[in-house]
Amino acid sequence: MTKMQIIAKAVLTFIGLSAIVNLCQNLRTLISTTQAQDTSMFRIILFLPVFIISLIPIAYFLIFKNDWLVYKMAGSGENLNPERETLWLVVSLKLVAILYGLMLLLASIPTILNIIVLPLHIRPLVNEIFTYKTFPKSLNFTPSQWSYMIYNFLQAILAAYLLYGWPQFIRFQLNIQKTKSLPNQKQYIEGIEK
Amino acid sequence: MNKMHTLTKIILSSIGIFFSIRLLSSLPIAVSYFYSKPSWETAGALLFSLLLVAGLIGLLLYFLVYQHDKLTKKIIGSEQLPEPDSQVQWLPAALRLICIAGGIYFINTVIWQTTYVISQLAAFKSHTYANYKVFHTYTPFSFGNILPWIITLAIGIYLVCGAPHFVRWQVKKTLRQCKTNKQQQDAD
Repeated sequence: MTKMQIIAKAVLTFIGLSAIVNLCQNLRTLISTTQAQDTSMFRIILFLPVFIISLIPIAYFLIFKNDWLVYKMAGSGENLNPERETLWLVVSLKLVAILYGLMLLLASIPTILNIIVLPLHIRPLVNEIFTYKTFPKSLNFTPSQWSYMIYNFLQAILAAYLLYGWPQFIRFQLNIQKTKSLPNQKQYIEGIEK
Repeated sequence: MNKMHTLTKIILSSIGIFFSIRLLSSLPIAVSYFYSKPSWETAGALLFSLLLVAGLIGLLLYFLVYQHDKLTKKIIGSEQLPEPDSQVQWLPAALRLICIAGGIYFINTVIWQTTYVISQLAAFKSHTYANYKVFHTYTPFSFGNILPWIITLAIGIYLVCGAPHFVRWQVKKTLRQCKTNKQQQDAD
């Protein structure tokens, strides 16, 4: 891969990530407007296939298998040597992960604080359950509240994972690159030997 | 001056201009509050928001566009560096730049929240009359509102300072990952 191709790959990954998060945000907003009425439930049932149909191609073509788009965007050129290619790929994907992780972290600060203070709320709830022998009323959340809580929780986890450096995804991309670059590597070594 | 300095200067200037424009876009909200509920309080809130935004834009433009040489030297090092033959030299600089951009994004949000709270306070105060019961109370200074604000500001300042511990940790991790990959490649 060339430097430009690697940069294009990083940009596509960033766009893919933000598209998926935006899509999930739309789903959350849609669920939050649901009042268990026929029309709104129908809207969700109608939107779910659209959500899945949009999510799969975005994840597949922009994040996991974006090479054909990368070649279209950046064209071809002289490939980097394998060592440099690895470093460039790791660094560019990591920069994308950190940048997007920081953006998500900003939105997740209240959620993280809520998670931290969660143990303080557990004891009164357990007391309530054992004293009144009923399910605590404060835990009877509406679909809107559930959708917000689940979305915020997943967002916080994604932020933490991206700030950790997105290791699994980078390893996956490196493995793909390794299988592709083995013939190139042999050519490169032969070129040096000659 | 080498390529790294030039690239850092370009990126710093871009960050400065981008966030200045983003901050400017927050002003219409403050102005609209004054137009919707004209009073001394909303006028004061508008003036304070204007000063806050103008101050931050001034700081951003001064440090990131006008005086970016000093910041570049702090990020990259002295001016007498050789051309980076090893790609590894780019890594901390790039990470630090990302952290600075993230930090300005955090501080930007703090300013947005502050101007919003000021406008809300002014709007609520102007509609509180002695003979009326206040049904909706706005409590921006509660623990739940203040704590995220303080944490956002603290993280923003740490990131703007270059997040040295975070950058060092990420550089170590990245190099270790590259080394492992190279060892695997050699073994293959």
